[in-house]
Amino acid sequence: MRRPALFLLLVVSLAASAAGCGGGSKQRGTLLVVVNAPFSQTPYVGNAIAHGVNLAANQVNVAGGLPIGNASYHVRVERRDTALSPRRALANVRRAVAEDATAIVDEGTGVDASWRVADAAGIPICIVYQGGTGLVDPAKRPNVFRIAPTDHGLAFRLAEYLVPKGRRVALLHDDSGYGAEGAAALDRAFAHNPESVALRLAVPTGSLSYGPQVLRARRAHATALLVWGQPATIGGVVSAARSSGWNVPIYAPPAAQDPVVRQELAAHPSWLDGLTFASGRLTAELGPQPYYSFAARYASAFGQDRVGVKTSAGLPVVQPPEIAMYAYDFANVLFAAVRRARTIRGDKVVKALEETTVRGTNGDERGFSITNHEGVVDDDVYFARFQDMTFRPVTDDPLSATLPVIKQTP
Amino acid sequence: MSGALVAAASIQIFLPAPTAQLSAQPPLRSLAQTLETRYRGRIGSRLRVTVDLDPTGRPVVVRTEQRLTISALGDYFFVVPAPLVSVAAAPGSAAPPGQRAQGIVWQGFSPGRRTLAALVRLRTGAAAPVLPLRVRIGRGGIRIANATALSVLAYDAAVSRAEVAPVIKELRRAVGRDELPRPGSVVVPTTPPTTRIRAEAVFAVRGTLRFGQRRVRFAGRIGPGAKRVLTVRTGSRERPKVELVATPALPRELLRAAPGRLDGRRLLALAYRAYLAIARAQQYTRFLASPDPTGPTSAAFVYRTAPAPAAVVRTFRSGDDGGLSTLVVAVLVVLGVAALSGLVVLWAHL
Repeated sequence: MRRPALFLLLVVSLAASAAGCGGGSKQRGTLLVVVNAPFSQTPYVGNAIAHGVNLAANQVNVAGGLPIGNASYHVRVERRDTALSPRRALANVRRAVAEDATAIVDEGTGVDASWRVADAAGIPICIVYQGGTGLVDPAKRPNVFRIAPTDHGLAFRLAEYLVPKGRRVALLHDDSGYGAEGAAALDRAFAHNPESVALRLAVPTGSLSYGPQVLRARRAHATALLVWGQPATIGGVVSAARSSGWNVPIYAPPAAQDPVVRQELAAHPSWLDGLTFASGRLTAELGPQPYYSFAARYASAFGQDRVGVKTSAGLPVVQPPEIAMYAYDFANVLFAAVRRARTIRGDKVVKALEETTVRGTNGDERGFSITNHEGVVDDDVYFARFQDMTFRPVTDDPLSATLPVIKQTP
Repeated sequence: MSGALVAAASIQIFLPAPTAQLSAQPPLRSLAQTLETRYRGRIGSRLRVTVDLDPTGRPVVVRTEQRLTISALGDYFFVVPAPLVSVAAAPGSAAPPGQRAQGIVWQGFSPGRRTLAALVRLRTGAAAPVLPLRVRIGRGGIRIANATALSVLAYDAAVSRAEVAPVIKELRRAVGRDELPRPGSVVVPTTPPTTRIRAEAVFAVRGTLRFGQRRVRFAGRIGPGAKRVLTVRTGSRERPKVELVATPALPRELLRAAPGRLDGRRLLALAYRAYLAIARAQQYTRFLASPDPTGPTSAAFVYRTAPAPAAVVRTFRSGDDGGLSTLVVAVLVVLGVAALSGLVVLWAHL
């Protein structure tokens, strides 16, 4: 009686192990990437981030998934709305941890609190919008990465660009987190050239009129305005200056290219002319082809991002998918790191991110290192100037002068 | 017609170029992987390698400061392979270096001129064997030996003096001006046999020995034509503290010897030795690789006595750190065994 029972057990064991081997067929799994962004408050930013990640994920899924060892992983992208609330952002990260997410692609809100929760679970967070200096610190926040221009880089490049022009700059910032971070970066950037600063002034976010603040800047004998704030603040300051007949040069961070600024000034397109902003370059020395190729894939998947204004020739203006480009690049770095780590989650993935470089959308290399978790180097900050509702690189900056004009009409 | 035949049969021997790579290292190697190396113009590399020595002269820590200068407008991306422990930006660097496990990543845009400077702590086990000098500190002095020698293949041809003379002239001209010579070649009638020849860099060394307050300065050159080993002895019976700087140099002494007495074959051997000495010295100016393999390079090696890394002193710790000390554990074990024995005895008597 005992022998047949042993034989049966042996047969069952062999069958079970054969089933486990799967006869050479690959096991299937899911790799979750969570997009934590303010979809309800600034939908343009949130959707751009999600679109970038989705585009990279679709490419992997169409090719059969991400192969890791004997398994193939389907990439799933989940959206979580922060509503610009750090508390909600933190709750979203906790949920991502509970769902065993591989990575979180973040707009930046709430990262000061959420990074610890993600770090404890070995989940990397990549910021693709906010540039605050303290957000990324490889020593203190080993799981936080960023692919977006840093406030430090933007501020120093703006100072480097403006100081030699002999301008006396009024530094205006709004009281949003974005504005406060920018003001701190500008203070450091202009610290060695106090003579170039005519005025430092905080303005309220969402004010109906910025006339009084612009008047103060004019009375301080400013010969340039640098406005660091939400898109509505930038549009409001431009509107206040031009409506008062003050044709002062105005400079701004990347938020100036948000469609809101142009929509706000749509009734007076000439007021926008000359507004100069700093941002990360969309193309590298290889030329615009890598970027156009990405833009075409983006438009084919999600359609073009219409700004909602037209050029003087009546052509509708479309927004280059810059934020989506950063999110797309991070997703590609992540997938390469996962392959390198041979696992889809945990500290090995975080460590592998520090050793991975891929070809970025703009033709440049994108990657991180042990000491640098910034995917956009300060050198990549360029300047563009609005003219007729579209922008083009300036010609009086060495980097910007080498860059082509990106097409912004269909 | 016969002249043409002779010309057709003759072959040209190229002497080692000043940038020839004579051994696998230097530059220091690692398993660094990169997508590509991209830059415009030339990149100059200036190195300062600092070697901390233990009291006997054994390297304990190797650091280097590398200053790369890009001299053109355009994008750059490259990885400098290095067996590194850590890297940080050096003063004056226009950008921070990126540290990877096997190299230093540089990426950005040069507006026409860009200085990229990094302070690198190298893995001693990987870097020390590649250093150009071996230093031995003894009682009352120091012995500095050249560690760059290696044996390479060369042609041993019976050429005419007239054929080699222009090569020697060019070498002497360049060395006299402290510049790298143009690559040299000679024409020989048939393929000559090969021989092994010693390739060794020349180093100019200067430094100081410190015996308490007393200082003894020294200087000299080691390498072909100069001394093979530099020895400094004093009457002191204590081991000195050492600080010396060694820089790769051109083989001036080698070429100073009057070539008038040498035949063509020996002149060719002399030319070989000189070109090899230059190539070997150039190799050490790229102790850490430069992304531009033919760009201008320079290096200085600083050897200095430094306190060895503090040994881990194991002291008895009281239990106030929350853990149990070894002694406490030992006492508990002894008490436990005694109690167990007692229980066994008790059980046996029940």
